[in-house]
Formats: sequence, C-alpha cells, structure tokens
Amino acid sequence: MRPHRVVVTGLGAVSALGVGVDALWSGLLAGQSGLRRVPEAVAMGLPVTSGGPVPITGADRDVQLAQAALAEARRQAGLPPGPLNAGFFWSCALDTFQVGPEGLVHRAAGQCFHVLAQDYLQQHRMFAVACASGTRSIGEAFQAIRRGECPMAIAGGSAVMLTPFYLIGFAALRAVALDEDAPDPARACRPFDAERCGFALADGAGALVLETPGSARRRGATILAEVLGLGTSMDAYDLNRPPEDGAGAEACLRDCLRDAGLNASVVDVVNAHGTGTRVGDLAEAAAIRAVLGPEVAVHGVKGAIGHAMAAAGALEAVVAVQTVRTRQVPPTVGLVRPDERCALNHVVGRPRTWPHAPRVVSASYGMGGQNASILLGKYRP
Amino acid sequence: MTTGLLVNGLDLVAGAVVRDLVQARHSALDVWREVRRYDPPAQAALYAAHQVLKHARDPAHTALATVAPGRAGSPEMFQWVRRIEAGWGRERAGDAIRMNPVHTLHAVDNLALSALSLAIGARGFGVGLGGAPGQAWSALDLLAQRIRQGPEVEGLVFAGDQADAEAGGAVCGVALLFARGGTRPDAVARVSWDRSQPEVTEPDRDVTVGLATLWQKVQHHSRAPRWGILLPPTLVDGRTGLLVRGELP
Repeated sequence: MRPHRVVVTGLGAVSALGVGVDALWSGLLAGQSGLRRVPEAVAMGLPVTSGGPVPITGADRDVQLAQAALAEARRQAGLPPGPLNAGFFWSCALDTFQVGPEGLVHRAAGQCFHVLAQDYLQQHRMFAVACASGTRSIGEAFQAIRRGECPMAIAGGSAVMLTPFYLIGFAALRAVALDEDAPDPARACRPFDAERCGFALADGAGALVLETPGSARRRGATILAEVLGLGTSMDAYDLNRPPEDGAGAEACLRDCLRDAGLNASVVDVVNAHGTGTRVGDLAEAAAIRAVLGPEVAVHGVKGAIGHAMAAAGALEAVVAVQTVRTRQVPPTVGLVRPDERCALNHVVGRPRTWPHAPRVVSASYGMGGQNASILLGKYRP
Repeated sequence: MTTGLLVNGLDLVAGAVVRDLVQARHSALDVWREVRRYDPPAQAALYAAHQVLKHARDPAHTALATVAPGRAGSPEMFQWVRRIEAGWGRERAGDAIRMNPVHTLHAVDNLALSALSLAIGARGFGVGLGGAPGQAWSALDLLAQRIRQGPEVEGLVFAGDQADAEAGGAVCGVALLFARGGTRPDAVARVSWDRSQPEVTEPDRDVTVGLATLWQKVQHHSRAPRWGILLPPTLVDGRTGLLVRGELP
C-alpha cells in the first residue's frame, strides 16, 4: 500500500509570549523576549530567578494550558469540542509539584495525559524522551497516519517546569542560566551566543492537528503545511550532555532526510534546539554544518520563550509551520555575538523573508541523548 | 522466513520480572554499580533489561522501547520536593538548599532508556513512553512495528513502576526480548496480539503489571503447541483487552 501523505490543519500554542499562536508568532517576529524574573524565586533567594511563565495559573495549570493549546488547534482545523475519531500523541513532560492551600499537590505526568486523552477515540500514545518528546510525538503521529493506522491525530506536548523543584534541580545539574551569569532576565537564554550560559525553564504547550490531505479536503479544512519526515537517534554518550562533535544530532538529521527521501540541499531553514548551553549548542552547530552545510538559515526560539521541555518541540513545530506558511523566519532572540565555534548562517536581529515557501527542519535534542527531528514543507498536491 | 499460524508473529525470546531490588543487587553487582544512583522503578527496569539482553544476538543494535519509570521518584527526591516547594515565595527560604543533582534525575521520565542506551552503546531506535495507562502496550506496538520493518531484527521492551514513590513502596521491573518472526528458533514462543472490542474500565496504574502477567502466562503455556491468552482491559489501557496468541517457534 502506498503511504499516505500527512498535512497540518490546525495549530495551538501557549507560551511565555502569551496564549495563542498569534501572540507567539508576532512576538517572535518582533524579537521580543517573554523571559522575566519570577517574583517567588527572587523572594526565596534562588540562584535562578529567570523563566518563561505563561498567563495561566493554578494548581491544575498542567491540564489547563494543554487544553488551551488543544482547543485552539481544533478550532483552526474546524473540529468542534468533544469526542474525536483521532489518535492522541502527546507528551506531558515530568510530574508537577505545586503548593496549594491544602499543601503539596503532586500530579504524575501520566495522570495529566490520561485526563487530556479522554476525548480521542483512537490510539493514546504518551511520549517521554525528555526535551525531544514534543517533536517525537508529532513525528510518531505522522508515521501512524502515513502507515494508515489512523485518519487523523492530535499531537504535541505540554509542560509545567517553572516550579521551585525544577529551578533548583536543573541548576544543580548546571543546565540553566544562573542569575550571576545572566543578570538581565530577558536575555537569560542566549542560543549560539559567545556568552551563553544555559537555558531558562518555561511552561508551555503546543498542539498540531495532523491528517491526510483527503481527510482535510473532505472536511473543508485549510492545509497549512505537510510533514515530510521524522528522524530519531540516541547519543549513548552521557546522561547530561551530548558529545561535542554532535554525532547523535548528526545521525538524527540524516535519519530525517532518509525518512523523507530527500537530500540535504532541499532544506532551507533549521528551527534549532538551541538551548544556550555551552556544549549543547556546539554539538548542534557541528551537526548542522555536517549534514546541511554552513549556508542553511538557522534560528531558535528558546531565547524568547525559554525551554518548555516536552512542549518545546511542539512549540517549535508550530513556529516551523508558520515559517512555511508565511515565508518568514524569526530572529534568534538573545543571540547578539555568535560564538565562532557555532558558526552558522544565523538569523539575527530581524526576521528574514524567504522568496518561496521554505522547507524547515525542526530539531530537538533531549537530555540523556534522545534526539528527534521533523521536516516540514508546503503541501503541493 | 516466518511459518506456521502466526504469519505476522514475533519471536518472544526471553523475559524477566524483578520485584526485589536487594536480591537483584546481589545477583548482578555490575549492574548495581551502574544503576544504584537511580530511582527504584528505573533500577528495577534496568535489572530486568540487563537479564534479558544476555539473550540478544547484538545488544547494541537492539531496538529499545520503554516505560521506565512509570511513576517516577524516590523517597529522597520527595524530601527535596517537600522542602523546596514549602519555601516557594518565602523570604530567603532557598538559601540553605544544596540539592544533590542525582535526585533531579529521579524525576526524569526517560532515565532508564538513556541509561540503557549508554550502557550497551545503542544509538539506533529507542523510544520512551510515559506512565499513563496502556503505554507499555504502546511501547510494544511501536517495537513490533520497528522490528518487522526496520533495520533492527531484535527489540527489547522494558518497564519499571512503583506503588508509592514517596514512601518507597513495592516496585516491579519487567523486560521482554522479541525478534523478527522466524529468526530465533530458540525462542520461547512465537506471538501476535490483537485488540478486543472496546470495554471501558479502570486501568491498573502500574504500567508493568500487564507485561509481567503476560510473561508469567507465556511461561505457563510454553510447552503447548498453540495457546491464547486474554488480557482484560484493566491490564491494558482501560479501553480494550488484548488477545495474545502463541505457538512453538
């Protein structure tokens, strides 16, 4: 049987730049940063007080922010609320711990997923591959539709990371930007910059509606982009950092091109993982140069919205679809003076407009060496 | 080439269930040195995985699919959580906190997958699923897909879970090694599985219980030429049961 093609017909986002895809996209094009001081962390005297909060609060914000992104994506795709004959491919990141009036509220990520999945009548798949989870969820949904296992899928991820346990825990792992190294919270995360010092934790959610072109046409849905390939790999190197030569990321990008049946020359833009960690950015730059060459345009969004872990890849996929649709590539917020060892064709300062709908790789390289990348382009019948 | 009743079947090569971490430590000190820093469900999953991987022809090129940990955490991690969260927003409450970074790892949902890939040098197909109902079977479905069609011929599904992460309750790790149908004449059985009609019920929260039950029943039937095992929805995902059929390879 010939594999089905897979298109995107709906997008939803909740990020540090606001609720909705428009808030995310307009903020990125304007070069805004949604990173700010977190007052409770300042009062507590934590070494890390910068982050990317979202304008949704409460002890159940893990569910709320996911539902906001899901509702927006379904609205755009013309899918009414309620049960849907679709697969649900989602990542809920790590467990959430929050203090409520009654004391500690601990919600396992699996519980959050179980609540969110109830509306979806086909497969329920919850991906847990660290920072690559959102990208992997979308890629696996793409694969399932391509194989004919389900006609439609909702995919993406959500995460509540801006809690004191994770601020302190990731500081202990030396992954986040400490205040002493990044005094300006809006510039806490500086991807590929010579002065980068780690990432800023963030909350967020990103959702995509995926289906076959035939399904979209029958429903009268607007096709926003096509998913062309999924690549995955594992570093097998270290639990906390990638190899500097980017071997795992390189294998992942090559796997993505192989899956899409395309060569490197067709890729115009990379939406980079770009966490702003010393070794992570080095490794990613090396992989991009090795596979896609030094000319491919590279941008990242974590300087603007922080690192929402399991939601990061999903939010970046939303941005990648917007790039395909509008031909505009947002600048990398926080990148002022590129590190010479991260030499790439960076999009800096202002958006870059493409003469045609670009093909975009959106890549995620997770802690523990879990890697995933997807390739998106304009749908051509 | 696959022969017999189950033309799309996979060879179930080996399995292991680990419920006692102390006993596991004594029987595999080398693994203990590797896993001792991790939370109990990740440890249990890794002990089981290492036992079963002894039967793999090429561990580094084995596809990996895991739910480990299903419910993450350890008593040590929860001590930090309670101490830190209680201080949220309180003046200078963070001053005296010097958290052991190892305990951050106890919250990480892909810990066992990454640790195993590192231990055996696996750089190919690996997928981690989260601790929601039915995800052990999602892992198994993805693994089966991969070893039927992908470059890997063998695949390991492994999972670890616990009843109460904060109090340090009962823990279980399980691992099953599969191979493309017809490639392992020494397999315990050739198996395939189908979903039953939807029947909504409350699923068991322990992600290992379905796989452990399956392995226990397969061992019971291992000398029979053909057999079938019906796993009820409570052991699968709370929505569908699973009919597992098997035969001698």
